[in-house]
Amino acid sequence: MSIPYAMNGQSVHDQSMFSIKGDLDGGKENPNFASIRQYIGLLIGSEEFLLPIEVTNEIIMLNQLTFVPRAPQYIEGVINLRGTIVPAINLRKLMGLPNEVPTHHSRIIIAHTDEVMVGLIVDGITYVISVNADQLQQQALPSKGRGSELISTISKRGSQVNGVIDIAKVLAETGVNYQTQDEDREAHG
Amino acid sequence: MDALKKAAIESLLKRTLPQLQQELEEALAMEVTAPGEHLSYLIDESTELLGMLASWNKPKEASSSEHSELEDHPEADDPAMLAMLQSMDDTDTPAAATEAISDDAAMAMLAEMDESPNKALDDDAAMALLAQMDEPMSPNSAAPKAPPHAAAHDAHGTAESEDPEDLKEIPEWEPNDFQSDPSMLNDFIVNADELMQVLDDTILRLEQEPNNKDIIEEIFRAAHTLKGGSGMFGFKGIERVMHRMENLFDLIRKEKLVPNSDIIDTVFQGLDLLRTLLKAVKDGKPCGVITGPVVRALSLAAKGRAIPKRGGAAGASAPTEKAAHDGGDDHAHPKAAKGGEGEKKDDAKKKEQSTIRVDLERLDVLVNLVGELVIDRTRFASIEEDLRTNYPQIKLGGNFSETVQLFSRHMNEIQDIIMKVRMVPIGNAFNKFTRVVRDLARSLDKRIDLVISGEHAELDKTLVEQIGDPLIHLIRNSCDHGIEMPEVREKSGKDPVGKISLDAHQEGNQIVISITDDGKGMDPAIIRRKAIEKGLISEEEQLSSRDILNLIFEPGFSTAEKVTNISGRGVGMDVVKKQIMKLKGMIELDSAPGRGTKTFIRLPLTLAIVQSLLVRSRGEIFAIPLGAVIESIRISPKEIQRIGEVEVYRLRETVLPLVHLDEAMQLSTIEGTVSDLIHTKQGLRRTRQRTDRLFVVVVGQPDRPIGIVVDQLLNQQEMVIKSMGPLMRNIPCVAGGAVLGQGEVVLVLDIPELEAISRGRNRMQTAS
Repeated sequence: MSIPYAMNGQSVHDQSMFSIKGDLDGGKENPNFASIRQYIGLLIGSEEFLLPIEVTNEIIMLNQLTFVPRAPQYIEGVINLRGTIVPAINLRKLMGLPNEVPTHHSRIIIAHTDEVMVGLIVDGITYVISVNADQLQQQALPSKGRGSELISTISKRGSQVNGVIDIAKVLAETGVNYQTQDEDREAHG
Repeated sequence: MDALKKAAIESLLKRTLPQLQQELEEALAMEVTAPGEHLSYLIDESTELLGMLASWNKPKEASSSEHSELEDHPEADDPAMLAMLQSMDDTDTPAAATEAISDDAAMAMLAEMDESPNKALDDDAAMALLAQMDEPMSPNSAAPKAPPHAAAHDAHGTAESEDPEDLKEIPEWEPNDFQSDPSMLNDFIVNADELMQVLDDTILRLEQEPNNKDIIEEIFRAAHTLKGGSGMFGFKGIERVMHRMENLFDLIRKEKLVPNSDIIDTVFQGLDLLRTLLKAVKDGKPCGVITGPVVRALSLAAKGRAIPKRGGAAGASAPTEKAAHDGGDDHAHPKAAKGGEGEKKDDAKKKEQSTIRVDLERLDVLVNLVGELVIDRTRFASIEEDLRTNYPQIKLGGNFSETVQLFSRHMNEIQDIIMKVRMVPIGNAFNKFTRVVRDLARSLDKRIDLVISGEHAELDKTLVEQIGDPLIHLIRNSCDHGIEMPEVREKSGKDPVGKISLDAHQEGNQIVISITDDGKGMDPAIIRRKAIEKGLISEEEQLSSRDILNLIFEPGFSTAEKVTNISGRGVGMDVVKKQIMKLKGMIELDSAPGRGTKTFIRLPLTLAIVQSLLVRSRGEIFAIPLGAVIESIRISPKEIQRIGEVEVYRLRETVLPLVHLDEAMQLSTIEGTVSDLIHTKQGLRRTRQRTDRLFVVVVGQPDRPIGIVVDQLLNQQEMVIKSMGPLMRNIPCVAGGAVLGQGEVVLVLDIPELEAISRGRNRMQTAS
């Protein structure tokens, strides 16, 4: 697996484990400040994806994970986030990649939708990236596996093209109908 | 509007005057010493009307406010009044229509005005009254125009037909300032709930001892308070029903009415209606339920006795009144003892005053926080221990260890207290059953006694709230299908009065609730046949009769339509079981044909903080709630015997079916998962240790346990079971997660589910 941090010429060990680089101020000097959206760049395997900063709560280390037997597909287990138990979704598995031994770059991004909070297991974090609205293109990709069904938007920054992960689609992929689960349980159980 | 009121009064006076005159004439002719009840009623009504007329002479504002007090209950009047109303085309019309006073409202006033010593009124006084009445009437009758006259005539015509106004609907709510104040409204709701409970209890007691003055006073007080409150908040529907009920109670209080079962039934109908109305208040919108029929029933019940109709009814009422007096004499002795009771009540009152009402939400936050602190305490203790044992070079000093210990101790105390705060006596859930059984017995023509014991056992509030439904279901079943008809019972040599006992007691960390009836019981043979028909078990399968009986909790079983008639039980039992399982409880049933049925429910005392046993299987740690654990034993693999596919171990006198935790939880699927990889990376051993010793945790119900085979027993710990979020709600056999001292999450096993699944599988395996 390639080591992303090596690209700016620094040794991995020089960095604090919580350091995130990028346009943390959202490029305030940019005149089009209002149309700028921020994303967190994350790595699955060696490919970079973006995740809207609005759905992100925090990023934590991956060092403890409790396996939950007979859990829904793609849910690797649960973690303790300061007293709250949060399920962790394996994005690698969602994208059809085999599991690998976690490295010290592996992180869990705590993200949320209106209803649920989940952890996303990723292989690394790259940058906080500011993207202008005209660099974004609403585009669902044809379903070809490898995560294409998780993408709802594509960002084009110069020659770089990245998929933006849609958290709602990730949750839909886990196959858990968490919204109607209660009713289902009443009806069937 | 004033003209309308006057017209209404006039019409009523016209209606009552001839009656009054006739009565007076009769009374004079018969030379009775005191006027009859009917007469005093008429006089009363007239006095009331006079009072109203007087009040209308005051300025309008004053009069209207006084009306609402005086009349207590505005009533929609006869159709004639409405017709007149339309013809008058007044903008104020709806209100005006309701101001008209009806026969019944006047009747109510009679009830209200118990101060006036009407009975003593002699004929002269009545005549004087009559004369007095004529005076204010004449100026008034001049005021209204033509329509009121017509209306008056119409009203007179319809006076004989029975109170059509009772059936008319009035607006359920009338918005006012009090209603929109949430805190006041909340107070009202809480108060109303309490009063309803008081009414329920006392009315049941009243049925037992109809002559007990204290009881009727208590009822009357509660009814009056509720009426006043609902009136203030503008909940007219409640007020109307309550008002009728109060009238009824007042008549009983004055010994004009002897409460028989029919009257009590009517009152209960009224209470049910009130409950619906109160629920609407809680929900924040009117429910639109029709109050008319009940109001009517109540007023009829009141009238049936209060105004003795000439002839048969009068004769019938006399003995009852006599009985009432006799009863009163009988109670002369108990009355002496009542002094003590009163003192007790005072004590209860004092105790009540030293309590404080707390918003449950706040309390829940507090409980959750204490739960977090419990985790922190565990972490502190483990950090301290870690430092002390693993880093001898650090000088901790006595202070640190002492502080940690003190913290632990205080934390324990806080935890104890906070758990007790949430506990309420289970009696709160039991109380309503007396009523349920009574109603059912009456409707089924059976005679059933409900004996409640152990109502002081305390249980978490949420549990008490949620245990009601399943219990009602079970009790209903017992009444419906368990207890036989009195004749049948007598024939089989039993007491014709069936007995259902409801008991609760604490066993360790659990509350055991048992429902026992001495009815006809269930025949395992029939249930077995049904189960085979339903495909729940196979023909050749041998089950103990107890196992067979418990098949009725299986979902497939209860759908059978005719089971109820044949075996006597079964409808909805799977629902009951599901509800109990949801509360982390267990349910079991035992029955003997002809002797009765006994159902046990075991519930944890509280759901918040649970003592758990930590076990390890295949390197994964699980927590087993200690409440479910009977014992843990160590056995050698050689001691395991096989019956078919099932592994069993002979534990003393019982045969213990064994479940391997790693198999039940499908722990082999862990391979290759991220957590597996983390463990591997951290060099933790995951493989199952094959030793010549196995640990077995014996769980379940004491008389039919199962054994869970694990690799290792760790320690015992207090933990807060948490939900794992909506995504992880339906994980089989996992009740939730808990955070351990080191911050890792451990899964808490759902023992009843594990038990059910293992039993189910065992059965399936033997069946196939």
